[in-house]
Amino acid sequence: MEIVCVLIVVFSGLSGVFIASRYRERKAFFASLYNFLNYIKSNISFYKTRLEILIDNYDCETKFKNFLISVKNNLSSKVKNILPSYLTNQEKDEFVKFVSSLQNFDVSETIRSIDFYLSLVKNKVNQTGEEAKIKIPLIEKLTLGAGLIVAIILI
Amino acid sequence: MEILSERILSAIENNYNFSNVYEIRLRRDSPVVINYAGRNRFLINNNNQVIASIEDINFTLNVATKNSLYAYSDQIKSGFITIENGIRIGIAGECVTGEDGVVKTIKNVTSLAIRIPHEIDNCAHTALAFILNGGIKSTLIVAPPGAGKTTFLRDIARHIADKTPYNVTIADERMEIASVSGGVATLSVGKTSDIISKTTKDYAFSYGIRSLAPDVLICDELASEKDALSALKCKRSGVKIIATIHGASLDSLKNESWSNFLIKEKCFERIIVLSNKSGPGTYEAIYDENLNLIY
Repeated sequence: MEIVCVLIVVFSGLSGVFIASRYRERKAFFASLYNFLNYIKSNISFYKTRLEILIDNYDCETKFKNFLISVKNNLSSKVKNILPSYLTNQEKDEFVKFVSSLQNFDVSETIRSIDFYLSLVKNKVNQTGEEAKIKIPLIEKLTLGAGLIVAIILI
Repeated sequence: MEILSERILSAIENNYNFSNVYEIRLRRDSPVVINYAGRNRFLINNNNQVIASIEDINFTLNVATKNSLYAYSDQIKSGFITIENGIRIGIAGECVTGEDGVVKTIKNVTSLAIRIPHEIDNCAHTALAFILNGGIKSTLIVAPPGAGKTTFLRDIARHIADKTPYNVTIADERMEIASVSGGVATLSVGKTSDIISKTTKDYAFSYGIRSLAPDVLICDELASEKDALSALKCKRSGVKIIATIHGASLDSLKNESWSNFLIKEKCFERIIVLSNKSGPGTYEAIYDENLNLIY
C-alpha cells in the first residue's frame, strides 16, 4: 500500500512536470525565435543571404535548430503542418504569414515584415516568461498536492 | 534542372539529350519551346505538345529563388535572375514602378526564358591565337543573342588564367561568366581568376584595377554608353579588356553611337564576330584595331 502511495505521488509529480513543460517549451521557443529573427534581419539587410543558408549557418540549441531545418525543408509545401502543437492557431498563422513574406517580398518589405514580426515575438517572449513564472510552479504544486491528498486518503 | 516542374522535366528528359538544350521557354498556357542544338522547337511528349501552366511558372520561380525572393530582388528589377551554374532566367510580367518611376519588381509573371549555359572547352581555341599574339590583345566579341558569346568568353578566361602568367579579373555583373555561389565559382573560369560579381562594370573596373592589379579585365555584354566609357577608362589605365557585345556584324556596331565610338577610339585590338550559322560560336571574321580582316 505504501508503495502504491509513493507511486501515486511520483506519478502526480511527473504529470505536473509534463503538463508544465508546455509553458517551458513555449517560453524557450519564442526566446529562440526572437534571437533567430534578429540574426536574419541583420544578414538579410546587409548580405541578402538566402533563407536556407541563414538556417544552415545559424548556431543554436539542437531542438530549435531541428525545427528550423524542418521549416526549411517544408518551405515549398505546408509549413503550418510542422509547427509545434504548443503554439496556438493564431501563433501558427502569424508564423506562416511571416515565412510567406520572406519568400515573396523584396528586401525593404522583407525587413519591414521582420520588424513587425519581431515586435509580435517580443511580446510573446514577455508573455510566455510571465506565464512560465506563474503557471509552472502552480501546476507542479497542484498536481503534486493532488497526488499527496490521494495518497493520504488511501493510507 | 530541379527548377523545372516534374512534368516538364520528364518530357524533356524522355525526348531530348539535355546537354544539347540551350534554352527553355515557359509561357503561360502556351506550348513549351526549347532551343535544342541551336533550333527552336515545341516540346512534344507522347505526341502531344507540352503546355506550360501558371503553376509550372510559379514552381520554377520559387525553386530558382530558393524561397527567398528578397535575395534576388535587384536582379528581378532588371528582368532576370541568375542562379547556380550560370542559368539565367529572363522574366516577363507586369512591372511595378515606384513613385519615382523606377521599376521595383515584376509581378504576375507570365513567361520565363531559361537559358542554360554549357561549358565547351577550347571553343575559343582559334581566337586565342589572335588574342595572345605578342601579349594580350584587348578584344571585343560581337555576336547576336544565343550565338555563344558568354561560353566563348568563359573559355578565353579559363585559358588565360590557367595557361598564362597574366592576372585575370572578371567583372561578372549578371553572374553568367563564373556564376559564383557561396563564394565558389560554379562555372570554370580558371584557377587564377579574380571574380567581382553582381555589380556594375563601372564599379568593378574601378575597384578591380585599383585593388587587384589585373593584366586583363574580362566582362560580358557592353550595353550602354556608360559601359563603353568604363571600357575606355580601362584601356587608358593600361589594362587590357576582353568583352562581348550584342551585334550581328561589325557594321551593326557602327550604327550605335557609343559602340561606334569604341571602334573609332581603337579601344580593342581584336574584334571577333561570331554567329549561329553552323551552331553557336561560328566564326564569321576577326579584325584588327584598324578593322583589317585578319581571319
